[in-house]
Amino acid sequence: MDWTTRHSKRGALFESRRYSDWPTLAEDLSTGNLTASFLLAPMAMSLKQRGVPIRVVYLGHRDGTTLMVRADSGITRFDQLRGKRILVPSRYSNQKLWIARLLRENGMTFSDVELSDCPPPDMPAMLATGGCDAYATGEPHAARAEMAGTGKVLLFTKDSWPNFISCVLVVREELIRTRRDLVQELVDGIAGSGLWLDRSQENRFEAADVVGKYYYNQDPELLRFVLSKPPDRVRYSQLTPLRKDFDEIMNLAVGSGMLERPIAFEEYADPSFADAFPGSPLPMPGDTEGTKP
Amino acid sequence: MAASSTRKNPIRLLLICVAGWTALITLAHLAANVGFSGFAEDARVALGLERRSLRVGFLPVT
Repeated sequence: MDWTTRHSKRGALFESRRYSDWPTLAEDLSTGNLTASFLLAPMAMSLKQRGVPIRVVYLGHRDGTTLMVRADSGITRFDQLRGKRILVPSRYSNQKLWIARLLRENGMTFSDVELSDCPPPDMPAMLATGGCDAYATGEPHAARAEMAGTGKVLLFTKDSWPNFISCVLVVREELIRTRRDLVQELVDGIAGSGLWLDRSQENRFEAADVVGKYYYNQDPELLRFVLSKPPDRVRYSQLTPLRKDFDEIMNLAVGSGMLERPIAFEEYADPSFADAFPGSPLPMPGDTEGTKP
Repeated sequence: MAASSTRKNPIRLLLICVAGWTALITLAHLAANVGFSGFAEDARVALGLERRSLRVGFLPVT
């Protein structure tokens, strides 16, 4: 956000507002207290179906979700989770849909496992203390258990559901109507930062140090781990919202009862901002070739 | 007195109607497409009193 602000042609100020749970964030978005946010993809569809005037304009990242089990569990295959307790971040999360997809692939249903919601920061402790047998969440909360030695990776989304979408950037429709230039600058800033991040491992380490220290209040070593082990654990490019990806999410969400009825891509997505992105990484400090594509 | 003067001067009556209609359309446009708070923000930004800003919500995952 700071870098988007610094490169704003109109001198606009982009600020980030941190939340600790999804329901509060969704409530602020619904009432208009918040006009732009990163949000779980199925939650964005659900809010739109309930009349909240929002549009998905970009993706937050691709992949970056991991299914963790206890390090000493002996579990090496998904079907060994039959009868086990699995945590997901929210009943409207794509992580829940990933579990639905895995259950289907293994000839199982939701009735074969015990699925519960849990705030992602609490998941590593739940796993370590026996409060659950597995959890599926976005990073860095899987890597925390891995680094601590209490958890091990059962599956990465990148191997099981390639190009997985978790968080999307949504904006309220009145912001698109009245401040289209501002939304474009926001998308350009996020897209440009993503291209810069994915350009080299050095850039990822630099970002881990800055973000860990000043924004996430996380150990930079943890973020370095997330962004390098393996390097494609999470990706920040190819973030244009695509109909085929969202239709798959929507169909899974309807099939699992997360959405009451189907919703068309055009009703909740507006990829025009991503299409208008000029395709250049944002120039970063000490970056002499930052403007080259 | 004023009513009788506009009745006597159709040009003046026409100008008053045009001005009223323009004001009404402008207000409707502000309400429907910009919003009064957005207009006030535009004015403050144009006068250099503040920067245009956008707050983006997030949860610290990935």
